[in-house]
Amino acid sequence: MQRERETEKGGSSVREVVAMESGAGGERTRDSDGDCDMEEYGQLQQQLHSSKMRLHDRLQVATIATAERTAHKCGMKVSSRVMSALTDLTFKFAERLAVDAELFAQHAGRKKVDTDDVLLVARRNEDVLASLRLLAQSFAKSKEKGPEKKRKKAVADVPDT
Amino acid sequence: MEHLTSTFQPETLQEIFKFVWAQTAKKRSKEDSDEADPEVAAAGAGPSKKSRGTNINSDALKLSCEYLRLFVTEAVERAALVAEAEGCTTIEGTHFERILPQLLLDF
Repeated sequence: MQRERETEKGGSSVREVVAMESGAGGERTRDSDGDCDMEEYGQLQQQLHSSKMRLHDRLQVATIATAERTAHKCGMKVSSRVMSALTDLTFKFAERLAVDAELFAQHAGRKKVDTDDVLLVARRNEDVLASLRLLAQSFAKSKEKGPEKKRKKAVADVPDT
Repeated sequence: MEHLTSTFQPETLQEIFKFVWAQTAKKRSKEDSDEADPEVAAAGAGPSKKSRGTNINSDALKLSCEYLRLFVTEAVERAALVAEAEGCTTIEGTHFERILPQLLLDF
């Protein structure tokens, strides 16, 4: 399914599938113009796909850990099929979160995604939103205390040097 | 709140976000530039990206990690309830399917 998605993004689906299947750097697939552009493009798509897979695997570790811990609390086990479905879903969820948060930041005229943007993405469920808002507030509070601690540390360090 | 090391790492999430934002930036520059130029398209990166991929605040990143953790936890807990009601000890695909619609609406 991911391959289909990537070919959709490319536009010329048939050529890219051919380019990908011909292997990396193996045969040269030439389109009607006689250029090798499609082959390079196919290689790029492959690189994209592999880096995406690497990110997917990294997320998978965390997803499995969290899911297993939760299931253990409920006294349950998770089947491998459900686990792979859940990791796929979590990855797509993370992608959607990225797209939405970026859009909200742009809408506010910012280039950096803020906690407010993430909170806005999480607006669908009130309990989730409340929980995240508490966490955001705790970050803000710890940041207020943080600079004071740093200043005290700087003052203490000066006499030593 | 659990903030254990074996849960979602901010670095991993940041890499995923960067990946997605790089793709959206590419799409945007592709739409803006002349698509009829095949050399530009083959080069992969546009001649001048209007906006280099978006960035994220570190607090927002931690918040996103928590959001993902809540998502996974909620999914498993809801599916576990269904499995328990059926008297199973393993969460199977059928249990997961049943909670999926409401889960996706809630998140």
